[in-house]
Amino acid sequence: MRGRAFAWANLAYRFLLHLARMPLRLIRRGNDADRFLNAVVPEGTVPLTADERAEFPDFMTCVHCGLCALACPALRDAPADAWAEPWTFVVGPSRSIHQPDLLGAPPPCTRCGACALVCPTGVPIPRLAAMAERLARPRAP
Amino acid sequence: MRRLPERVAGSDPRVDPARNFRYRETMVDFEVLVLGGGVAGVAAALAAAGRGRRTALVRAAPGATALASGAWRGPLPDSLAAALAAAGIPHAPTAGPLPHPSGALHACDYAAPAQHAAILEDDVLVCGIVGLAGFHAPALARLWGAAAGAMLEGTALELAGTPAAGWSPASLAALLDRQPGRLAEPLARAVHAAGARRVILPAVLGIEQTGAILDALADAAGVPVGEALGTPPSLPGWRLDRALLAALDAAGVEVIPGRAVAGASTGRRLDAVHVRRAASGDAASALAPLRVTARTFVLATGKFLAGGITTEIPLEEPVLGCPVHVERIGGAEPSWSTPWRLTGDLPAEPIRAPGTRTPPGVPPTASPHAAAPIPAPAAPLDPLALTRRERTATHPLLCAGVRTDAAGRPVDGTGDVVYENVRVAGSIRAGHQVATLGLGAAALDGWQAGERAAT
Repeated sequence: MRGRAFAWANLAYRFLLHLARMPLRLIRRGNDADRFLNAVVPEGTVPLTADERAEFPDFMTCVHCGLCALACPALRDAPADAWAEPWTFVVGPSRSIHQPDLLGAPPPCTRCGACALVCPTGVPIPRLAAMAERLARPRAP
Repeated sequence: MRRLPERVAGSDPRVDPARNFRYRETMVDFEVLVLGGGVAGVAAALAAAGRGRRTALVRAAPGATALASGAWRGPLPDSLAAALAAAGIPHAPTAGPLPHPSGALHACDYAAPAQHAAILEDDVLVCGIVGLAGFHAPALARLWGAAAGAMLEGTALELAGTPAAGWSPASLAALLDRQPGRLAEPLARAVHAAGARRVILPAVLGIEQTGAILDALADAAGVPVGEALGTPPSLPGWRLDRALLAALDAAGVEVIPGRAVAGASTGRRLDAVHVRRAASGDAASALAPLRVTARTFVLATGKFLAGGITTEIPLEEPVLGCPVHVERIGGAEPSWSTPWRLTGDLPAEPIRAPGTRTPPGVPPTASPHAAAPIPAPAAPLDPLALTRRERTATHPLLCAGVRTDAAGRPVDGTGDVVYENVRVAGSIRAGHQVATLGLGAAALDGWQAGERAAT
C-alpha cells in the first residue's frame, strides 16, 4: 500500500517536471533528428535511409567472386591496390555497416556502373558505393 | 553491338506505380531465343545461328563460366573451338593435368595458349609476385613437384611500385596490359639465376594483351612462359567469357543484356519471355522491358550462382517455373521441390526488381492444366538430406535442377513435357554437378540443345 502511494507520487512529480521543461524545448539547439544524429554518429552507428534499408537485401547478395574488379574501367586506367576494388567495399558495408571509419568508395570510382552490369547476383554496386560514402561522411552537405 | 529493332507495341502502355512513370513494352521477335550467356547458352546460340536461324541470347551477367579456372574438361565441339580460335583464344588438347594455385593438379583436356605452356617438368621455375596473395611460389613448387614427380623451384619477383596493400589480380593484370614488358627484367634475372628451362607465373598476365605479354616475357627470359590456372576472380575465365561474347557477335547473334523474368505460354507452348533490361550507371530507372517472342527457346540460365535455380528452399526455377527435381539422401522417392506451374500470361503487375522476393501469402499462379495431378512435396526439404559429409562426394543439392526427356525438353514429376518448344541445357539440368563435369559437358549439352532448337 505504501509502495503504491510512493509510485503514484513519483509519477506525478515526473509529470510536473515534464510540464515545467516543455517551454525549454523552444530554445534547444537543432531539431530532434539532428540531436539524435549528434548522439549516435560519434559512436559509429549511422542510421540508414528508407531507400537504403529497402535495397539492403540486394546489397547483401555479394558472393565475393571479384568479377566487378575485372570489369572496372577506372581500375584499368589507374590500377590501385588490392583494397580499392569494388568488391572490397561491397563486402564491407554489407557485412558490417556499423563501422563508418572502414567505409568509403575507392578513390578511382566514377560511378560508371560497369561493375553492376557484370555482377552475377545483381548487387547495385554504384548505389552501394553512394551509401558507403554517405555513411563515411554522414554530416557532409 | 547492333541495336535492337525498336518495334513499339503501343497497345499496351503500362504504369509502374512504384516509380510512377509510364513505360511501354517493346516487342522483338526471333526464331530461337537462348536464355543464359554461359558456355552452354553460347554454344546453343552458335549452333542455332550456324543453322541459319535468327537467334538472340538474353544474358544478365557473366556467370559461373567467367569464374572457370582455365582448364577445359570434357569435349569441345569443333565449331565452338573454331569460334574461340577466331576470338583470339585457340584451345588445344593438353598433355596432362595443369597446376592450380590450391597446390593440386587439375585434370584438363583443352586449354588456352597461356595455360598450355604451364607444363610441369624438371627445372621449371615457379614465379610468384611480391604483394600478390594466394600464390606462394616455394610452397606451390613443392606441392606441384610432388604431384608431378618433378623437381621445381620457387621464387618471387618484386615489381617497382608495389602498392602498400599489395596487388590484386585485376589491378596487376591491368598494369601489365598497359606495360607488357614490366615483368620482363626481374623475370629474366630470376631465370638466369635459377638456370630454369620454363617459367610458370600466376594467372595475371593481362586481360586483353595476354599474347603480347607472354611474347615479351618469353623473349626477355629466353624460355617458354606459362600461366597457372586461376581462382576467382579468374583471369582465364574472364578471357574465356569475353571470347564467347566476341564469338556471338561474329556469328550475328543478338545479345540482349538483361534478365529474363517471366514467360508467357499457351497450353504447353512457350510464346514469349519477358526481359528486364539492364540499366547502366546508377540510374534507378530501368529501360522499358522487352517482350521477346520466338519459335523455340533454350533454357541455359545456370544454377545457383547465376540464379537459374533459386538458392532458397523450396528451390525454384524462377523464369519459366519449370519443376525442380531434387533427390534426397535416404529417401527412395525423389522429391519435386515445387509443384509445377505453367505461366499463363505475362504478369499484370510491373516486373519485380531482381533479388526481391514474392511476399508470403501470394498464391502461386493457377495451372491451366488443373486436371493434371500435381505431385506435392512429401515433406519440406531438409537441408541435411541434401548434402553429404564427404566434401568431395556427389551432393544431391548440387545435382538439383530441371529434368528433361530424351529430346532435352523439361518434364514434370509424371514425365510429361512441360514446354514442348523449350530445350534445357547446361548446369540447370538435374543431375549435372558442373564442378565435376567441367565446361566441356555444358558446351556439348548446349550445342545439342541449339541444334535441336534449330530443327
